[in-house]
Amino acid sequence: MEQLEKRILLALFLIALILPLFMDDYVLHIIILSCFFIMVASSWNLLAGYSGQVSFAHMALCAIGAYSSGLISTHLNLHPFLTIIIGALAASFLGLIIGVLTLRMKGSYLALTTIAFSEIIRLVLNLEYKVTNGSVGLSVPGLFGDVSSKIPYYYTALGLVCLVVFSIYKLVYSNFGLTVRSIREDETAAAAMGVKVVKHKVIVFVISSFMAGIAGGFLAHYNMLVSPELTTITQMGMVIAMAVIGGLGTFIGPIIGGLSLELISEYVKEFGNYHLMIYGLLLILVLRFSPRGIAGLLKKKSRVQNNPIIKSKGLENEVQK
Amino acid sequence: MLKVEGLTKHFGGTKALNGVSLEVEKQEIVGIIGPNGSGKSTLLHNITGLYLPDKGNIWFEGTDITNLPIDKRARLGIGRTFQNLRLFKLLTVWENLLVPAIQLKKPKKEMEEQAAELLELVKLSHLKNEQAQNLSIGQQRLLEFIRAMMLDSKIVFLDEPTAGFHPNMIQTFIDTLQELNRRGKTFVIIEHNIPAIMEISTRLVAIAAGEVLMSGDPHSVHSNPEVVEAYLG
Repeated sequence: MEQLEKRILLALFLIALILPLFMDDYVLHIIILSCFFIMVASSWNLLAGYSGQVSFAHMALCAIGAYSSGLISTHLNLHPFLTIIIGALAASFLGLIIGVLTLRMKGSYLALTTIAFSEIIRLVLNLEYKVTNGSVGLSVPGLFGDVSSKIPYYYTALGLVCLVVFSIYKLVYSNFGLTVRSIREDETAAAAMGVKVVKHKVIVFVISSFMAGIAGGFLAHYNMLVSPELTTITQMGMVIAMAVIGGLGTFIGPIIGGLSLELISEYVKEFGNYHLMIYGLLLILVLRFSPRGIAGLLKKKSRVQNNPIIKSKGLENEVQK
Repeated sequence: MLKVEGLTKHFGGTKALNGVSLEVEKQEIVGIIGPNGSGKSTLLHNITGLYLPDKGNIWFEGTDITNLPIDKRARLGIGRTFQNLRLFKLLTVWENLLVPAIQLKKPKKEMEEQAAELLELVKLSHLKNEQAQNLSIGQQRLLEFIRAMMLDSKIVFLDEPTAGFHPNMIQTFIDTLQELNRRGKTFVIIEHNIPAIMEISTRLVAIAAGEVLMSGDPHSVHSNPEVVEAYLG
């Protein structure tokens, strides 16, 4: 990770730590939702950006985590902290099944198969009314019981984001992560270098599904409600937009994307579904001018500023053009 | 060390390999020549595991590897490069070298020392932190070559390793290859650069229309009328 990225992350973390001292519940609510999206976008980025598996089933797996946790905590009277983990395990189990079923698939084949899976999950959640309460949504217990303050949820969200993001960081920059990145670059060449391609791809699918399940479980017990809305293609599109606009295949990208797009979304939501047009427009602009997203721009700026030759000749502005 | 017997491979109605048999001894440098479409690369793909043959068998150090997947063959010590470069382009030169070593679960220090030494040999040490895609074609070929060596490969198949080389680089490549050969490595090289392959190889195998035409001393194979005929049509 580049120095500039580290500084940005540290600054964001420090600001986040003291934010509840200055901000009202509404702002905390938006940041909590941002944390949810950062977790989902980061875990999707692990799958798509680092291992090259573009899946559209991520929000469906997130919903599996949410519903499993909600149902278990309701019916078995277990604490949500425990059921969130059980829900995440359920999501990773389904992730394992999808991962195994789509082993040999790439590109549009993988995308279509995962869209089909996502639609099946959405339909089951809508139709199995007796279990899921259908499109109305399932009421689930709060993570902190009847506590109405946002602050415990805020710090839990912050803690979970740190945990997920730190785990991804450790994973990506480990030997396992390097192997996974080589698969993204060229599966055949990776196999010719001794890489067990299938095994690594499935493991990444399972890990990212677990993280999506954690995010889903947390959201369910924060909202005290979980609905099939979570599995719509619109929601999946938002997560993809966050990862891509932030910078696909970069560590900081989904964090910037999740935070900034959720903030933008709050300001433009009065336009109803038109806010998706703004996402679309942003996506087109970013892909046109910086295919590696906002993080790509930061990397370029950082490299230019740290290049001793460019610095000595005072050409920073010229090169950045 | 390597024994190939009656290897046959079809692509639709085309017979790319027609009962090819070949043996390679330890520490040999075997050059494979032949016109375009003669089956050289198909032979290489079958031996390294990218394709599975329709008929025939392949033994490596006494083990039948005919149906082993490519990654298992690689971990057994069969390395390769590709005719069309297949580097991990967005990874750095250094990371490209570590990927194969990681699969062998080598200690960190050992793999770093090995990578540094190989970079030194091909004179690319100064580029270790550069993304592979930023290297020239010749440098990329050298990188792909030493990446295959990071597998501790006992035998390495090189598919047109000097294509796109600056003349200066050919010597670096030959020196490195011969140094590694002195240390016990075995090489099988497909090459159209005849002067280079004549200089490097200890034995030449000529292939045409999916069959081995001749195998033997490089000069006698190269000057054989049948081989000349196959090349020139």
